[in-house]
Order: sequence, then structure tokens, then C-alpha cells
Amino acid sequence: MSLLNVSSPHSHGPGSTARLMKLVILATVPGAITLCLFFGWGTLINLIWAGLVAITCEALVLKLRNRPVAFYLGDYSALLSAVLLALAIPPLAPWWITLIGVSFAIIIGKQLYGGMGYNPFNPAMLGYVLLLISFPAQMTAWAAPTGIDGVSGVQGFAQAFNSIFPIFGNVLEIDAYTLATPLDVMRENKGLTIDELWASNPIFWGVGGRGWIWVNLAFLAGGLFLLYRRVFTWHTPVAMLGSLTLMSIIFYGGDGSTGNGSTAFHLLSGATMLGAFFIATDPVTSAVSNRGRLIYGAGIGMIIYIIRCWGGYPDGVAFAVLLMNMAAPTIDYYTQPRTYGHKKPKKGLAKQD
Amino acid sequence: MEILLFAICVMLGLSLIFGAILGFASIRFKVEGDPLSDRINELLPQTQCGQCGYAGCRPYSEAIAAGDMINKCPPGGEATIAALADLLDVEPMPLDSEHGEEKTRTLAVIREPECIGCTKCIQACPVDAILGAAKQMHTVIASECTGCELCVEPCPVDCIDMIPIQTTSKSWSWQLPTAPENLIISDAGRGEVA
Amino acid sequence: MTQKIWDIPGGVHPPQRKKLSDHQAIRKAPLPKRLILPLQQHIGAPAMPLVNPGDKVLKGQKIADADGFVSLPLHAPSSGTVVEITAHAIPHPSGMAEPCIVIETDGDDRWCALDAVENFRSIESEDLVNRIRDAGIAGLGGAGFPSAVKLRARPEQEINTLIINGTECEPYITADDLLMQEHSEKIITGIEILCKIVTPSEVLIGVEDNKPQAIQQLQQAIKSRSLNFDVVPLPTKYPSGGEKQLIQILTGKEVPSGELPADLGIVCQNVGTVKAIHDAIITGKPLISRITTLTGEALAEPGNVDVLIGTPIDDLLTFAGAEPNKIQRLIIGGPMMGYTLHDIASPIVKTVNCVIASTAEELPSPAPAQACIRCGACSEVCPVNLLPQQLYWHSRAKDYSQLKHHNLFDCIECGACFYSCPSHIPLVQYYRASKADIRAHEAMQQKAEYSKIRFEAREARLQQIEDEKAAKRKANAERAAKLKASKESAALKNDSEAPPNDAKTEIDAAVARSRKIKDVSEDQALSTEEKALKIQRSMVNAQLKKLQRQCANCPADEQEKLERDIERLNQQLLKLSPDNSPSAATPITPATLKIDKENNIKHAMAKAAVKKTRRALAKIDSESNEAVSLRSELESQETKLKQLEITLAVGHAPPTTKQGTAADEDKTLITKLGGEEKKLKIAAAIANAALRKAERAYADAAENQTAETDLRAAEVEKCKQIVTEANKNLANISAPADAPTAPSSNASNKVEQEPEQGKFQEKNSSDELKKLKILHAMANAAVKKAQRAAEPTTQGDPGQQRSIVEARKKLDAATKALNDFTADKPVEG
Repeated sequence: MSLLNVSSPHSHGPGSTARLMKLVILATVPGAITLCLFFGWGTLINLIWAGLVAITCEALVLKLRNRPVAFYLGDYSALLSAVLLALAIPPLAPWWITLIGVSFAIIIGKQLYGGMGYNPFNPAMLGYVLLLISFPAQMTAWAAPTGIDGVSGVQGFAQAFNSIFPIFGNVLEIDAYTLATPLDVMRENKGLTIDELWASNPIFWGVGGRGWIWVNLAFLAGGLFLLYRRVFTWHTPVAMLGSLTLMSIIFYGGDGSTGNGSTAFHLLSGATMLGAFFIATDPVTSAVSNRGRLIYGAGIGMIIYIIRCWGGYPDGVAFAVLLMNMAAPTIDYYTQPRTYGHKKPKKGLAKQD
Repeated sequence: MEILLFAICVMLGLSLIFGAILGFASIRFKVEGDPLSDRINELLPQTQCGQCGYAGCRPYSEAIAAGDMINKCPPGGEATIAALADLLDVEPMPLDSEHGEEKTRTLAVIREPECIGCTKCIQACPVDAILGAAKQMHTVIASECTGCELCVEPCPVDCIDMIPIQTTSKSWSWQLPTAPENLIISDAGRGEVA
Repeated sequence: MTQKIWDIPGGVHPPQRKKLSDHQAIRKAPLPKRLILPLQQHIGAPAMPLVNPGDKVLKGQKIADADGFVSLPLHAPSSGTVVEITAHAIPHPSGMAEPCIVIETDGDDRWCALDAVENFRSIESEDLVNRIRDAGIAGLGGAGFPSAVKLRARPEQEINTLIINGTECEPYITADDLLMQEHSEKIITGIEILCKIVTPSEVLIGVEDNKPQAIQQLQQAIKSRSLNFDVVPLPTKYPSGGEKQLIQILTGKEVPSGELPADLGIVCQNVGTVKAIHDAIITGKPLISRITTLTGEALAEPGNVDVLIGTPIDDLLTFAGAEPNKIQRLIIGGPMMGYTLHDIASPIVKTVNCVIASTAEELPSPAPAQACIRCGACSEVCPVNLLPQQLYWHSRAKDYSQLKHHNLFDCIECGACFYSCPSHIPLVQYYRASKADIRAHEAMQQKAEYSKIRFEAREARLQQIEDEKAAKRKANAERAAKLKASKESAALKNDSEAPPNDAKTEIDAAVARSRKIKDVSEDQALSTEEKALKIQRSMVNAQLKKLQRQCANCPADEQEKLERDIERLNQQLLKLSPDNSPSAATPITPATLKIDKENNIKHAMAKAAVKKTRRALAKIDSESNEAVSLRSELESQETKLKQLEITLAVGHAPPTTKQGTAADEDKTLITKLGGEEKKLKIAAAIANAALRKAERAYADAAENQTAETDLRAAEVEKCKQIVTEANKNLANISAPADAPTAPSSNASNKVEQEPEQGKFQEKNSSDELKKLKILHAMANAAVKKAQRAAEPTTQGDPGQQRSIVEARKKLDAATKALNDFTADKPVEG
């Protein structure tokens, strides 16, 4: 008999990278459905289109790098990046927006760094930021949510498909179906009190934006499911939401025209929940220790608020995540946990001997 | 024109001030380290084999400090060259084969029945690792031997063998696994087939 | 009473799989035919064997003793015969063989006398510890640390907590569980013995809550004796059974990094060890058996066995009904920290608590590793709060300082990180390899540091000697100068015409004097004539040497001229040599014997020189025009040498026979002939070896170069000739030697008959032996050097030229010496 000789342990748990990725993709389903409900079929079309592009790009580069294509595609990481990017892109963005964003994310943001596990930046957010900077018009044109009087919104699948893939010529006039997002309106607000703002613009509803509240709650539900399945620890999302809450309390500014919006408004607007549970928790690019993740998450929350209220862009999740990605290695060096038998945790870099 | 002059003056002033600060700092906060040759010597393998052409590691370290090439140390091999290159901030270079090749570490072992007790090896040993007296059998203190091979040539009866250090179950260890995936595109062709 | 327990960070819950083996009572394994007992079954120095192959041993007899403080003795697990002490496969991850005592059992299983203790309470604790040590008890939990070392109280440490480890947190293993169920009484007594030794204030027995029966049994045993030991049920979680982890769970304290539990006042012992301690004290039985779990789905009858140490594992597998073709890997220990076995002939040792014969479905081959996604699952489960993913990166980068900074050496290699790693990265292997690398690196650095110190000390010493010499010289010069000055002043005073007697001439004179004295003392037997010749010879030699050195350094055209000079000098040397004959005419004295010996050495050196020349010749063959002439010369030298060899061998006996009186002449002859024969035999063997070498070289060369091939072929041919000639001589010699009955080379015979003569002969024969030794070594050297030279070199540098010339010189000298000797013989004979 020939005996197998390997190092211990000989037993392995059920976990695998592919399983983790699939769980995360699964957890985005409620959010994606809610997006479709409020903003039309565009999100679904984008998801499928982005997935196709991502898999093609990944396979292409793996082929170029002489790697086993099936093995690496089987980890679902490319698909996850595509899904996250597709959820962040405006639902009716033209097809080439998605193509550019996803291919950039996969090829340059991920594979050219060495593939999964080696990318210093979140690929989806790299793609998003590229698009936001290069095509601001398309990237800020969100479809109007359903249920607003006087704005038709996107009616059916055919219309949505047509606006993304304008094969049949009759492109929708962009202004006909888009509205500024609540965050945009809030940032641009100069003279109206919060109450006046809510009364004047039908995009507002409840404590936040029409549809946006539900989208964020759906992503929150997905995130809680992932927490329950122990896909990631609570540290990053809680720290991020916590610091965003703290910032919004400190800089609330009241109900007047100079106010920055309530805590609930910030928590349930834009990509807050998507960011907190799906973007910031990307393990590859975040800090590794629990304490590190607290700092990392808190940093993201803070930067989001700063960009939203005083920056040049309506939402800041992508920038905040990328900035904290840069800080992650440094955070790692200063947040080592205290090892068993040591009085104090070690800090910083080792002394070269 | 006036603005231009003003700008130049300001720049000049600033550069003077900062220059003065930097100059002061470089003198005031100078780190007193070991002399360069000492730090180089720390990196050499201390086999004292003389394959570099110098009479031991210290003379070679002094020569390197004086500008000699860093690739003359076969016992240290690539690792030492890399460490020296790092210390001296120069490009690592391949080992100069003129001085020998990197080999596995060996120990000198005297075939004792054949030893005629000439003491030639004792005189040759740079670290006093050979024990014996005239007309008496000699032996190598294994724990002190650096494997420099300097004792082999002088032996008139050629009874000194350089024995590669054997792995025993005590010195055995697991090897680093091969990396699961290769990083860059230039690795093409070396990819693991899963 | 419920004891408070603490939690440890991390941990995993792998499938227990204890059901496989825990339903059956402990069985006794059959007595094997052979017991294989590795000398090292514990941490520390290997034991020293006390028996030799062929010795009969009894069960329980000590067969190897501890070698040092951290070491343990070894006992025969059954009666039988020691067959051999040899390297045999042992259970070790390397799969390497280590020295083992192999005992063939006789089936009687006869015990030796046992030293049982009636009442352990009446015995000094020091004595108890010694008994535990003499019983060879090592930690049976897996690590194998000598228990006595742990128990030997150090005065500065007061032990206040005794922890008994019955957690058995690894999946599959049920040995301790069954042991606690069946031998709870013995364990409790064992604990009482331990209490007597370390006198703790509390005793905690940690058992995972998945062993309710064991807990109950222990509690009953404690209650029946109304002791205040606490059995503490722990939540089942891997790795709560690690010593440090168990201490943390039971006491909330952490063993500081790099320290021992004893520094906290805690001693931890495994339940199996406690039972062994009980056996050692109460019954006097040493550790010769243990309880081992045989499990895995490839076994028909998994279960626990009471097995003798040294039982081959394949015997046990057969006993447990293993299906060999189903076994994919054999694990010694648990599936989390155990290692795989390479050879099923390996024996059970003291630390083997479990053997898992697993099928491919049960524990599948590791999946290919993917990239680390830094998910942190590993740091979530790490029981010592490391950052395994960072350690992994630094391991791959071989960044030792960062690894140490991340506390790599606090890793207990429990494997929880790998268990939870979604990318299937063999993290533990990375850490093990890195730890070994760091240790090796540090050892090397330490050695380098040490070498540096030794080197510098040596340099300093040499410098000091040099300085002292210089100082002495200076002092001498000063004294001489003073002397000279005083003499000069005296001369001035006396106004005499005494020659200027400067210091140098004085020293020279002194040197000459001393040399003269030395010469006289050395060559007492030599006549003045010889002395003159010798001096002449050495002078010519020196001249020759000088020329040769010049030759080596000068350009080629000049070289020829110089070589002609060398040739001339060589001739001169040769001419000088036969004049030496008067010395030979004198009767044989120790001095002439010394010459004889010298001749022999010279002969050997000449042989080496011929070889060296040949080698050098081969090297420069292609480049140099001189090669042809050199080769012809070499050949002539070789033939000369051969002749010398033969004559030396054949004609060596007669002069010595003259020494004997008429009565024992025959005997001496026989002795001498015996010696001659031996020598010739060796010569023949050497020649044979040379032939083989040459043939090998020939084969090598044939592959490489055809040009060289011819040369090699010639060499081989020559060697063959030498061999045949040597053999012929051997035959010649041995024929007469065999004729007389009972040829005795025993010097003592002669001592009886003629003491003086015997003494002389003895000395002679020992000299002969020495000579032969040197001869042999020299021949060896020559062969080696020739072999080395056989590797083709491209450059014929001056160094090589010089070596040729030098070799020739040596050859000449030796030839001359041999000439002397052979020329003498007719006169003597």
C-alpha cells in the first residue's frame, strides 16, 4: 500500500472560497430585487451583462497567464466583483459603462495585481471610481423610483433593455426618466429647510429617499444573513455604521437649510448598507485583525460622511473604501492582537536584525 | 518683475533656512553605528575559508568596505550577496565562479587510522577546530568546523574528507510548501494545473 | 461543587468520530514476534544501550539507560533475545530510521524481579521521582517529555496547582476516555502519588464533557476515598487539551511566552502518564505498554488496545482487521496534530496514542491550495490569538524578523487555522518550515559568531607569538650590538687586529653549530663521508628548488633554459646518490632501519608523485608542447619505480635474516616472509585499486574525449602490468612462506628465546606496520589526487607546471634513495 504523507492537520472543515463567494452573491439577492422593484429591470440586465463581461475577462487573462481557467473561475470571485459593481451602477447606464467598469475592475484592478488575493484595492470600487470620474453624467443619472406622480419612470423590461442596449434606435431621453438622488438633492440644497426640502421634492419619503430606504434595508438583511453565516465578523460593518452615525450626530446641523441630514437619512441613503456589508467587508483589501477592522470600518464611515457633506460627489462609499484600502497594511502593523502568553500586543514593524 | 524677485528671494531664504536645519540635524542626530566593515563582517558566513582571496572574513569585509566586489564568497552564496547588496545599497550580482561555487555545507572528517600526525592541518585550520599533536592522531571538533576545506590540501596522506552535513530525524524539518499560485504574467508556463 | 472555568479564544469543532472506537473495552494486543524499541522515544538525549546482540532479556529489564538529565531509560517489554541494535524505521514525520534495539520474543513473557512499593506515603518524594524516572515514564499524551523532569521540584517554584489532563480534544482518539473508564482507581492513586511529590493545594482534572462516563467514574473513585480532587467538565472544543490551553481554561492564567507552567506554580500531567506512574510505584512495573486507539474506517475492528511498546504497527493493523488496499493514509496521533507514517513496520513508541487508518473518502487528500483572501477565518479560530494570515505572508517571503515579531514561536501548531481555511492553504506546514528555517538560521548565525571569535582569537595568538619572536630578535640584536660595541671598544683599547665580529656572523655561527649538533645527533651512524655527501645533496636540492620556483614564475622561453638547468641538477643528484653506499655496508642498526623506513616513505611519496605528474600531464596535455617529453620521462620514471618496487619487495628480507642467530634463523625468515607477504598483498591491493580507478577514469574519458582516451588506455595497461607483476611477486614470496609449517609472525615467541632480539624484532614489526600504514595512506592519497585530476581542467597555469617539476624532483629523490638501498644489498647479501 502506498501511504500518503502530508503535514497535519489531516482534517479540513467544510469551508471553501467558492462557498464564501456564493454566499455573498446569494446575500445580494434581496437588495437586487428591491432595486428592480423601485428602479426597473435595468439592475437585472446590468447584473447579467456585468457577470458575462467579468467571466469573459477573467477567463481571457487567466488564459494569457497560463493558469487553469476552470479552477480559478470556480472561486466565483470575478462574478462577485461584477455583481457588486452592477449593483452600484445606475440601473439604466448604457452597456459600455458596465463593460468598461467591469473589464477595468477584473483585468487591471484584480488580475494584473496577481489575481484573487493579491489586489490591494477593491476591484469593484476601482471600476466604479473609474466610471464616476470618467463619465459623471451617466453615473449620476439614476432612474426615478416608481410611485412618484408626474414622473413616469421606467415602465417595462423592453424599455429598460432598450436604454441599456440601444439596438432599436429609439433611445430614451435621459431626463425623461431620471431624477437626482436624495443625497444629491441634500448636498445641493442651499436655501430650504429640511421640511421644505421634503415637501418640495417627491424623491424624499419617510426619513430618506423614496425606494432607497427599502433598498438599504434589503442590503442590511443580506448583510445580517452573512453575519449569521459567519462569512465575516461584525467589526467592519458595525464600526463603519457606527462612525457614520457618530459623524451624522456630531455634524447634524439641525433642521435648517445648513443641516446635513439626519442619522437615519445617512444610514438609509445611497450605498451605505451595500458598502457596509458587501464592499467594506471584502477580506482581501481590508485590515486583518479585529481591532484593525474596527479602525478600518470607522475610517470608511467617517470618509463617507465627509465626502457626502463637504465633498464634490453625492456619495463617497467607493472613495472611502479605496482610501482605507490604502491604509489597511499600516493598520495591520499597529493592530496585532495580544498573543497568548504575552503581556502586550506587538506594534509596528519588526526591527531588522 | 518685482514679484519674480520677491519669489526668488523667498525661495532662497527658505532653502537657506531648511538647509541650515537639515545640516544641523545631520550633525546633531548622527547615528553612531558600527563601522561599515564590522557590519559587513556580521553578514559574512565566518567560514574563514579564504576562497575570496583574503585571509579570512574580516579582511574580506574590510576589502568590501574599501570597494571590492561583494560576490566573492562561495560559502555564503546568494543569500550573503543579497544581504550585502542590501546593506551597501548596490545591485546584487551573481556569485563570481572564479572563487568557487556554492556547495552544501560540509564538515571535515579525518580518517583517523590513516593520520600520520603531521600537524599540517592544525596549522591550516583558521578556527582551531583540529585537535592533535605531532606524531599523534588528529581529529576534527565537529561543532567548531566551518567546512572551509583549508585542511584538505596540506594533508600529505589525504586523509581528510569533506562530508556533507547529513539530515537526521532530529535536524529534519518540513519544507515550505510550493506557493499555491504564481503572481505575475511572466510566470506563464509555470502555472499549477489543478 | 462546580469549578469556575474560563474560555479560550478561537477553537474549532471538527467532527468527533469517537464513536468508531469507544464502544469496546480495552483489548490486549497479541505478543509480537519481534519488538522494536527506538532508543529515543522521548524529548531529550537518546538512551544508551545496556545490552548487546545475543543477550537474553527478561520482561521489564532495563535495556538502555538515560543519558543525561533530560533523558529516559528503556525497558524490555517482554522476555526474549536481543537480536540486533540497528537503524529501523520509527514513527516520525520524516520517515527516517533511527537506532533501535530489536528483541525477538520467546513467548514466555517472563518478568524480571520487580521493586514494588507497599506504601508510597512512607517514601521520600525524591525517591518517588527517581522511581518514576527509572521506570522510563514520558508524557504519554503525545509530546513525550520525561515526567520526572517535570516533577523534580525546583526550590524557587512552589507548585500550588496540579492539573490532570484528560481532555482528549482530538477527534478519533478514545484511549484516555477508555483508560479513565476502566482504570479510574489507578488514576486516582497515581494522582495521590503525584500529590505526595509536588504537594499542590488544589488538584484539577480536566475532562471534556463528551466523556460523561469517564467523568462519572473519576468522580466516584474520588468520592469513595473522600479526596478533594475536582473533576472539571469542559465544553468540547479543539484544542482545549493543549497544555497551555487547559491551564487557561482551568485557571484563567496564561503561561508567559518562553516560560514553563511550573513558573506559574502549575504542573500538568496526562491521565495516561498518571496511570503509568501508578504502575511504576505500586507494582514496580516500568513503562513497557500503553493504551493506543486503533481507529479509522479502513479497520474492521477499531478499538483500544493495551499494547507493548515496540510492537510493529503492521501487527496491530492485522489484529484490528485492516484492509490494506483501503488505507489511504496512516496517521499517528489525531487528525489535527498527528503525522503520517511512512513505513508500517515502524513500532508503537511511548508517545503513540492513536493510529488512524483512514480511507480516501474519510480524510480526503488535501485540495489544491488557493490564494489567501485574508478572510481572517484562521485568526478567528487561533487559540493563541495569532494572525495566521500575516504569518503566512511573511513565511512565504521568508521574512524572519517579521515572523518573530508576529510571535510565530507561540504557535502551538494545533491546525485550527488550516481546518478553517477556505483556501486550503497548508498553513501549519508553512509555520513548521519557517520555525525550522529560523532555528537553522539562528544556529548558523551563532556558529558564524563563534567562528569569528575563534578566528580572531587565533589571529591574536599568532600575532602575539610573532611579536614575541620579534621582540626576542630585537633583544638579541641589541645584546649583540652591545657586545660588539664593547668588543670594539675593547679592540680599540687593545689596539689589536681582531676581525670585525659582527652580530650576524655570530648568530650564523651559532646556527651552524646547532645544526651540526643536530646533524650529529640525528645521523650518528653516518660516516663523515656520508655527511659530506648529504650536505652536498641538500645543497643541490635547494638549488634545484630555487630554480624550479623561478621556472614557475618566468615566461615560457626562459623556462626551457631553466628546465635544462634543473635536468642537469637532477643528474647531479643522481650521480651523488650511489656514492652513499658506505653507509649500507655497516651492519644493521636502528639508524639504518630508520633509513629503511624513510626509503619506504620516499617510495610511497614517489609513487604519489608519479601519479601527480601523470595527472598534471593529463591536464596540460592539449596545450603544452613539452607534454611529449614529459610523458616519456614520466614513463621512464614509472618503469624505474616499478623496478624499485619489485626489488624492494623481493630483496627486503635477506638483510634482516642475517640478524638472527643460527638457531632461530628459520623462524625469523618466516616472520619476515610473512611481513613481506603482507606488504606485497597490500601493494597488490593498491595496484588493483589503482587499476580499477584507471579503468573508471578510462571509461569516463572515453565518453568525453577521444584524445585523452589513448592516454588513459595506456595508463590502464600500465596499471594492469603493475598488478600482474605485483601478483607474481606475491606468489613468489608466498610460496616459500607457505612451505614451513605454522608460520608465526608472533614477536613474543622470539622474546622468550632471545629477549634482545625479540625486542628488536618487535620494534621492527611495529615499524613495519607503521610503514605499511603510511604506504597505504600515501597510495590512497595518490589515487584520490589522480581521481581529482581526472576531471578535465582547461588551463595549464604556472602552478601546475611547478607541481610537475616538483613531483619530478620528489620522484628523483625517492629513486635515488631506493637506488641506495638496492645497491647496498649485494654488499650485505
